[in-house]
Amino acid sequence: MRKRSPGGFTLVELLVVIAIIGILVGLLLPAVQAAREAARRMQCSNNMKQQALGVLNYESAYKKLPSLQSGNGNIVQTQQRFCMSGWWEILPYVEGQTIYDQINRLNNGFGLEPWNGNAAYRQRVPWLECPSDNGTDEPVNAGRNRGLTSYAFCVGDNMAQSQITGQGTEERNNLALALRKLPIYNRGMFGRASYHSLGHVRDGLSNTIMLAERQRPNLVNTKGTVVLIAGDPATYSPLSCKAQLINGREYINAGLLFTGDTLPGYRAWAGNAYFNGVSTILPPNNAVCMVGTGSVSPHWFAGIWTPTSEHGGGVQIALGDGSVRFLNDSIDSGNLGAVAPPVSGGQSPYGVWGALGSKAGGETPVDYE
Amino acid sequence: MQRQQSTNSLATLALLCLVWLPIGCNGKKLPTIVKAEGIVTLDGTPVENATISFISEKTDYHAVGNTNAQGKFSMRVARSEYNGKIGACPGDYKVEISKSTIGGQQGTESTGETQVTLRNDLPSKYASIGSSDLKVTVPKEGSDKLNFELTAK
Repeated sequence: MRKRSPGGFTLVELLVVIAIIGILVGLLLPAVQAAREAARRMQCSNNMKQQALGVLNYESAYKKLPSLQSGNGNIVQTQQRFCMSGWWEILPYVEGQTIYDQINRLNNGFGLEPWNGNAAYRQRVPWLECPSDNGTDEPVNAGRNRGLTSYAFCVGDNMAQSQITGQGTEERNNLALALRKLPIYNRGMFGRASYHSLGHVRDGLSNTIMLAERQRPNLVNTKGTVVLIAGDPATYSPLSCKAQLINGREYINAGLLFTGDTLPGYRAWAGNAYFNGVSTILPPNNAVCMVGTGSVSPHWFAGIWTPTSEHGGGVQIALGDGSVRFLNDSIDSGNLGAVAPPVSGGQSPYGVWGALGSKAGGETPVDYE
Repeated sequence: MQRQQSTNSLATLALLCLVWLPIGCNGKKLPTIVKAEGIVTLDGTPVENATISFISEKTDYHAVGNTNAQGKFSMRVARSEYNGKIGACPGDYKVEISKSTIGGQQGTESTGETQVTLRNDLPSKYASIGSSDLKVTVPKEGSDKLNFELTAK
């Protein structure tokens, strides 16, 4: 064997060491990125826990759950009733009394207007923003962002809408109908002026979703934005909605996206299901669709408000008991060819996913994790 | 001689690492999918941007697709396990076809609400399996001739 010079390395030895270091760095770098996302996700789930506690604190005070849509005024276009969100209702229970008061002071006899550009409605609260979502400016309608949100109240597995429609009349254009101030009940825990008690959640609080994530889109043609579909909610099969999103991220027909007004996630204090409702029809990270025909107001019509997130592979949900879980995209969603059930419609056709959303579907709880 | 050996064993180790890497994936058995393509026409004219759903009454393996400018579509299974791979499971399906079109969109800052006009450019009876009489059978060997000739009447 050749004698080595003291303190020296051969070229081969150096190359081997460099190669090993290279491999180690290659292994480590993705891990660092994953750790950063894991940290963001943890903060995100912590926010959700706060919200769930806020909802349950509200329940302790009033013996009723908050509703998705509430607030004074009339629902006709200039004096809207039921336009405020559940987040506004729980503000006093999550240390948000100041914002609550600021917003309420704006009520000058015409009702609350969460679309209004007033500074109070533009207030952002950290516990409504998931750090994995990076949109802070509305991507299509610059300057239209109000309070931001990444979370939504569960409306269950029916096609939830925010105003009463039918026979060619929209409640927002029909003063007589608006003045009746009718509630809208959904199969999930939340609806319009539907203040349920915990006893109404007959499937059990641990088997029913209270809140879920709806990411704030930072581009127009990306998951989380709403596609408009000409159809009848009463006969519509969710599969046709699912077909709109390809590669899990991009809409196939950008011409169908709703770009005429504020995108979801950019109006935290508005109670419309479009902004702050989440359905358990299509499994997580699928297309979000509004369904209707003729002249429609996309913010107020029925739709499939699918939860989406940037975590990769699923979304976080809070159950009625206040616990937060991560659900996979591949959760059993039953028969997506079935039409969404009416509010009084018994068991959910959408498998475990639909069963978790409905508060009184009578489904047997199953192991889903 | 000894050095030669150590380099050799190093090379073997590197090779082993390379071979070992892909072994991570565990293969779950999914039903096989085959090519399911075709063209949608309305009174003989190809229809662009139509949405087609194949709805299976026996299984939960439904398929969906959209047409391009030539009216051509390629179905994909509507399940996340397939990662958007092109193809459908062989079998019998009911078919829904619709094409949504949006009229003007504009926002009004004062009331914060926009109205748009939404219509289905295809006859509405094809939009729902309740009223659509369209059916299709995807053969075992696949097909690229699953054409749908719709009529306005």
